[in-house]
Amino acid sequence: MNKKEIRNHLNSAIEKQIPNDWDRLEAKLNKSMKADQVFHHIVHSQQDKRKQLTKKLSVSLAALAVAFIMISFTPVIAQLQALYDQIFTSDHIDDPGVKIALESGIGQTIDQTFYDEENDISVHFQNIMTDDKETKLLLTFLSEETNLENYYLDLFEGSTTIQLQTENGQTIPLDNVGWGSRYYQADKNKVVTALSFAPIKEYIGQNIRLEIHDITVYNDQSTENVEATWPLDFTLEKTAASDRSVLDVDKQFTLQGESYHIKQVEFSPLETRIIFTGSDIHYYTDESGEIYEIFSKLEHQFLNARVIDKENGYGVDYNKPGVFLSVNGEKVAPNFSKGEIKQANGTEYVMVFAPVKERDNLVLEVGEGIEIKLGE
Amino acid sequence: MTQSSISQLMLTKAEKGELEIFKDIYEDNKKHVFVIALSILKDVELSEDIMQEVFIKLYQLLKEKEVSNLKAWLIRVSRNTALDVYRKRKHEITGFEESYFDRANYCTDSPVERMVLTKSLNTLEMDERQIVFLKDISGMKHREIAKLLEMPLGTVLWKYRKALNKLKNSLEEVE
Repeated sequence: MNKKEIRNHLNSAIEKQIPNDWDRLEAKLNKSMKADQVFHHIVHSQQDKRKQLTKKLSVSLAALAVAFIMISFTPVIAQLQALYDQIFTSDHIDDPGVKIALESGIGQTIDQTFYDEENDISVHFQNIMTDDKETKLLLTFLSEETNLENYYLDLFEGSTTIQLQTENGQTIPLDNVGWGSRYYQADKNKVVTALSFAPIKEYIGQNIRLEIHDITVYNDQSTENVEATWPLDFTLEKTAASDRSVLDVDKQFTLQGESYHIKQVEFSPLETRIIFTGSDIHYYTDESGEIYEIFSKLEHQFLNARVIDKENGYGVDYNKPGVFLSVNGEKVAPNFSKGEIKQANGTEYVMVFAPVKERDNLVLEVGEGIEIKLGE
Repeated sequence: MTQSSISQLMLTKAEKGELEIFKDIYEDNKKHVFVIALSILKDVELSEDIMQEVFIKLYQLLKEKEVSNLKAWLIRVSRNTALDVYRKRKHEITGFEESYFDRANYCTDSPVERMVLTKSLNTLEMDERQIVFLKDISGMKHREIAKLLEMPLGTVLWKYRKALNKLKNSLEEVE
């Protein structure tokens, strides 16, 4: 019996096992409560939620308008910004690197549309940016017939994959980097997504083809795979590529009894990475020889400031003690959509923040009371 | 139960009684509650009791405030309630043994399904069983399970793979 068959049998067995015990529950409810009050609160909760959403959207739009006015425009940046969906720079996309890169005019504009006739989905490829560690592909897709609310291009744990075909016909699967960002615009039945996968910088100047295969559909109680192939043929231009520079740090600190070493900081227009080693940063091996990992105390501290918004994904609470990078006293947004990146056989932990321009006056704040100067 | 389906229920108020609306919520979500309770307690009767308790809690809560993500709330509260029962029972019974929770009364007629369910209850560790049930029965994503169980995502993925392998091996022994 293969694993899929096991899962199917298990699902079926449990489905049959679920009791139909409504009568007993109803008797208890009738005995102790008045049913009409429940409906009242469901209705009011929905109305309140709509009000909150309207208020939130108004605030977001106002903030977006202010941000838009405050950006220093060059004609080139203004032209680039006109070509991508403005929602990529809104709070709906929880990768701060995407927002800052777009606002800085980073990336190659693609502006190609592909129509997936079988699924009635129109795909708009908008922008691509790559450096030595990752590629971000920005696209939207919408449909008139297919409800896309639960449609994801999940490279991390879904059935979706992406591959590269080079000029000489070589096909290379591209692994995910972090989780990517995604937002569903219900009023337009449109998905806005920033995919994050392995770097393709070495193919600059080549006519390449990126192919996205299959859509992951997360229904309320099951996951489905919708077969699809979305191709993108284009010449990868220099404008898509960014460079990454490294600052060697070599600083030590202790947190909750564990010792950590800040090895280096990597700067890219797409992100800022801090590389740590530490006494509890390594893989563990169980009794059967399988390798697994646990959160280090440092990672726990970093995640302490993470907040999860059902609509907008990961956000940050700057008032909670976490791990923050600050430049000239201003905190840089952590990128929680790139969680749990380990390298060097699990002995290095990578903490990701938004890109920074200033590199001299960097301070890492760890929890309450630990401050480490990272720059010169 | 999605927000949209709650809205649909609201629209049908004219035709439906209000308790009937709650019944729809119960029917749509009872699986999630039962599955997480069974994965912890390995006992059908106790899991039924957890279902009753959790839906009464939900009913009371809806009288007071909104529940923005019903499925997430139900899974979290069901897990906590089941763990409370597990800890209490374990504490109450002197010389507790795992077999205490093995008195499941199977409803399926299929010998294969029965065997798979039995093996999943008896072979897997509690956290492995929670991960497999939440992923494959309740349809949660690994990252949602990681958050619920307060484990790194990598550990959830590893335990999920390990659990399925363990289940596969134990079934092959029977075959």
